[in-house]
This record gives sequence, structure tokens and C-alpha cells, in this order.
Amino acid sequence: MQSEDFTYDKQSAFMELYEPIHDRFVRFCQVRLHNSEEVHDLVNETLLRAYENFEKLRNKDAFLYYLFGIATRILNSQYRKKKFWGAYDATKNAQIADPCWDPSQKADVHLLYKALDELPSRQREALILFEISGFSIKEIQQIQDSKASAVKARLVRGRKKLAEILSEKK
Amino acid sequence: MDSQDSTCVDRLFEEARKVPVSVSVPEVKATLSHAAKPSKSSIFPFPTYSSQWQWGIAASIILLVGFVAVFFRGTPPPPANLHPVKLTENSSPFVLLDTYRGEEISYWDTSQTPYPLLEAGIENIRCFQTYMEDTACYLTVALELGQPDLIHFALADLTGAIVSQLLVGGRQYQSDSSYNFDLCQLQSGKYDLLIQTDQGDKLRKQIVLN
Repeated sequence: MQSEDFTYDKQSAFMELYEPIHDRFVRFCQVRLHNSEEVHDLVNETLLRAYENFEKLRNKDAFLYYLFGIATRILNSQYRKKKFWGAYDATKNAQIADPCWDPSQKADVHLLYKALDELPSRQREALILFEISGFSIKEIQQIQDSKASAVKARLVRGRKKLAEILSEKK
Repeated sequence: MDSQDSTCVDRLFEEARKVPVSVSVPEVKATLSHAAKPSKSSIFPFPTYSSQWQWGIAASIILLVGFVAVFFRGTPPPPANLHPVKLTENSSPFVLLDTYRGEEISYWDTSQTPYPLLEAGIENIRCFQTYMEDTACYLTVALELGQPDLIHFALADLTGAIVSQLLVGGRQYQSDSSYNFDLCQLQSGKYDLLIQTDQGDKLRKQIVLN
């Protein structure tokens, strides 16, 4: 009974911090991984890891840094593992049903995702967090453990480079 | 970056913000509730969802146990094709134990006393015989009662003819060119029997006489 109470308390404490940023976090994962199935896996794995070690997080103000740090480490590890995976099958990928959004918008958004992939990782992360997920500069400071000026510089440079990449693609 | 590029980037970001979120909060809650329940199938006393870690620890334990076992054994384990043989005398008839396979493979049988032993005047012996697939021969080990140092080893072919034999205790009766015995006493009652076939193959049997 006591352990059930503890579990409930832990879950509610976790959700209290997580729920306000849920949409923004999932959106970040969606941009980083274009495939909806992989997004599901990334979100679940990140949350499970974060939840498992939640007691170790002494300063709850660092939750954003903690959560996005886990997600980034998983992404990096997946990227490393993918080097040893089989070849990407575009036909099979196209057959996977994607209930997410209107197909007319899909091409534009896909183009943006591809262009974002070409940016340096910190710039890309800052741009996704600010422009798509909707985090404030102060929150991105926490996530990236950087100064506000550094975040702003990444955003400006990232936007500039993104525009160049997109104009090249056109 | 001109204003046209900037507008284009803004428009794309606007589109990306409209993409609906593919994971809902209730789904997250369900996942966390599931994670809170300890897995009954786990054999490890750790929290779940760290199977790589668990298997890492399990593999380390297995390696450590293996290392300790090999280290304290003193001698390296025999190759897989060599079956150490253990002979025990816990009851009559005697039982030959194949410790490698952990099963009884032969029994003492006084009626199978090799005739060369009888010819040599050695009586009052107990022996066991076992068929060795690797030499297609019968190995006979005979103990002379009351004289534990005298142990007779003989190889007989399928017709029962002795092809090679050796008597521990200083007396060698017969040796055949087909098979050569080489016996090394590791310790009291424990022998390493090397058999070299006519093809040059070497077989090793470890025999323990209790």
C-alpha cells in the first residue's frame, strides 16, 4: 500500500512538471525524427528513463535540461547505431500510414525538416525549441545550459543558414 | 538574408507548428503507470527497463565465475572431445562415471577379465570395460585387489583381441604398435591416460580411482 502511494506520488510529481511541456516536447521529437513511429518510441523511452531516475533529480527546476538531455542522448545513440543498420527503404517508409497532418502541408514541412537536419546540432536544437516547440529563450537557456546571448546567436545564425539551405533547395 | 527568405522561413515554421502532436498525455500516463509495476518475469532485483544493464551484470558474473573456476582448478579443462572418466567404488558392482557427461557408462564386470591377465597369473582382479567410440576399441581397466598400485589398462579391438596394454606398478606385459599408452599419475588414484592411435591421434582420458 505504501509503495503504491509512493508510486502515485512519484507519478503525479513527474506529471506536474511534464504535462505543461508535453506538446512542446513531442513537437521537438517530431522534428528530430520525421517518422511518427520512431517519435513514439523516442517519447516513451525518454519519459521512462526520466521517470525511473526522477528521484535523483534534486533540483526540479532543472527538469527541462534533464528531460531534453535524455532525449538528445537517445537520439545521438540512435544515430550512432543507425550507421550499422540496413539501407533506408523509401518505398516501405512511404507505405507507413501517417495520420498526423494534412498532406498538402506535408511537403513543405518535410522540406523544412530536411533543411534543419543540415544545421549544426546546437543551432538546430535551439531553432526547433524556439520556433516550433515554442520554448522561451530562458527555457532554452536551461535546456542547452548556455547563456541567453549564446542562445540568441544560435537562433540568428541558424535562421540565416536555414534560409540559405532552403533557397538552394528551391 | 533578405526579407523574402525570412518570410519563407517564417511560413515554414508556421506550418511546422500546425503539425498535430502524435502522442497524447493519457498515453504518457499509461506508459508511466506500466513502468511503475515491477516486471514479474525479471530475474534480477533491479528496476525494469534497463535490460542492457542487467545483461551486462549477468555476463560479468558469468565471466567472473568462469575465471575463478578455471583459476582454482589448477589445470586447464580437457578439450571437448576428451572425456575424463571417474571410477568410484561406492558399491559392488563398481560404477564408472563419465564426469564429463555426468552419466554412468559402464560397470565393473569380473567376468570380463582380459585373458592376458589370467595368462600372466594375475588373479583376484576387478575390472571394467567401456567402449570408446573415438578409438573403436574397448578400454579395460583392472584393479588387483589388495594391491591398489597395480592397475592394468588394456585396449581391445572389437574381436576382443588385446591391442595394447599397460600395467601400472612397474610391470609392462605387452605393447602393440597399433596403440600406445602413456600414463601419467597426477596424484594418488588419479591418472591421465594418453592413448596414441596408429593414425597418430592422441586421446586423453582422466581416470580417478577412489
